[in-house]
Amino acid sequence: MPLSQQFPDVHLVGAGQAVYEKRSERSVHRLLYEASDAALTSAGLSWSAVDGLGATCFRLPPDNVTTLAEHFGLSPRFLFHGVYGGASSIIGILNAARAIQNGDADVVVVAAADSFDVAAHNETVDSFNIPVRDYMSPQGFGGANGMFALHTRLYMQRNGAKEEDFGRFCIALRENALRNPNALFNTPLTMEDYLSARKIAEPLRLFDCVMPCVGADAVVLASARVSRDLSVPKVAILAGGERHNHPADDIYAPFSGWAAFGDDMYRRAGVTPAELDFAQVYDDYPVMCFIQLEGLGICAPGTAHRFVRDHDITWKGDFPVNTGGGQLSAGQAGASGGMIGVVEAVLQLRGEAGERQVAGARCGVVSGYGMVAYGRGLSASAAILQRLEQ
Amino acid sequence: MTKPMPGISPLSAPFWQGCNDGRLIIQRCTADECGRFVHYPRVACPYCHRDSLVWQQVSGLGSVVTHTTIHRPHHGSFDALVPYVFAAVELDEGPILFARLKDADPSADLLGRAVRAAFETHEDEQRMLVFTLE
Repeated sequence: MPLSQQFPDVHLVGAGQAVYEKRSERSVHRLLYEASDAALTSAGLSWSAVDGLGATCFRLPPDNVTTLAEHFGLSPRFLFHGVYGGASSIIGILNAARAIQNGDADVVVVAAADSFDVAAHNETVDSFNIPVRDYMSPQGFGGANGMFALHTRLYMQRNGAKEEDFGRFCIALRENALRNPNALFNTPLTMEDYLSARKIAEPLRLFDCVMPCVGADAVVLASARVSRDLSVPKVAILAGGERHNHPADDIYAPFSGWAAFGDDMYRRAGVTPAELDFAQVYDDYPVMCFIQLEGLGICAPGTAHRFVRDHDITWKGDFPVNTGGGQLSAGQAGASGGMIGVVEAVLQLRGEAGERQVAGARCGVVSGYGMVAYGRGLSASAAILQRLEQ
Repeated sequence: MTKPMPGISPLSAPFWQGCNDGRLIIQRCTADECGRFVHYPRVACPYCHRDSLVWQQVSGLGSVVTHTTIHRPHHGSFDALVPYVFAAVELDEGPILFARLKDADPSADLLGRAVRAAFETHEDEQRMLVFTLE
């Protein structure tokens, strides 16, 4: 069947992770290397084939993707440095795909990494940008937890969602994480655990908030010309999109950036949300997952809390979400949170997800979200990925 | 422990000086077709994109759009205040401002409640916007 895809001559040919840890002596350069090397190995490619590099890493400065290329001994003809927080990695993949489709690169590694604990994470967020540094942090906003507690309360008030609905989501992700050897949370979570956990920023409790950690994720994109000679499972990028500061004049609009480009993305991909086998959404907080499920057309606006009541979203369920446990149960390695879902999607579509493999996974959506600023994250991104039949 | 300080610039100085003077001063677009109030401070109107922003004192009255009770602050300097309420307040003039809601019951439902701007000592050289329930 011919596909009406944006990038017909580009394939995702590899994906890899560094080992996630709560703390580590590894530098972000080392983490980026480990994930990139794992991704290249899974692609059957060597570093000498790489002619493009993308990186997103909050703790990379004063270095950047250009000095990273020097550090790695590469001479790329395409570079991408993500400045869209957790939306960056998918945007980097789309930009890399545009470059490859246009003949400007053949093999692009897109990687993300960070090394955070709670204190370092708070320090980074406090001076993330001028709006946060000047008009959120000095006023005592409670960090990202406080910012998304505000969204959570509003979502509950508008749609009638209960704490237990967010709990169901977190519990399902934990069940997925139990089958992911690289997830940092490896004990089951019960509703009692969830509801009795300490309050962080009401209505958020401990298990609503991602745990900052150390880790890295990477994928490899290749031109069809290069991909042809690789005997590994491959994944097509059917379509993708991004939207920033949407809507420009309403921080608490009941619709999101994903909703702005979702219809167009599905049309270009030639698939409908009903044809998806899974979703890997950006899970910094459960409320943002609800908003993504709605914006990406998986359920109607304002109904995601009912969707998680009515559907089994674990890896074995009728609509699996964040099948590796997501950031909420694997840990948030800073900017790597924008790539962890992409790596999981590629593993699922390659049939390499081990004990958490979604049976017959053929097509899925991945989404990213980031750059928290004046009261909200500004950047939304997503892509539809599909297994390439060999 | 000192509280996080805003990075006061020539662009934002009138807002922060207003806080020190006990007055809520924000930007307003003077273009006839626009006229909207703006916060946080911008170099040009983010609604009509004209170079027509001026500073103007506003009522300081507004209502709570949403709120959270902070138990684990992002910065140790706020630890002594927990649990405290942090809110998004829509001013009667339009813009949303974020600030602590002083002396509010941390377990109360405050959505839609009317509030008024106040200013309290932040660090020696700077007072900070807070809101109080009407």
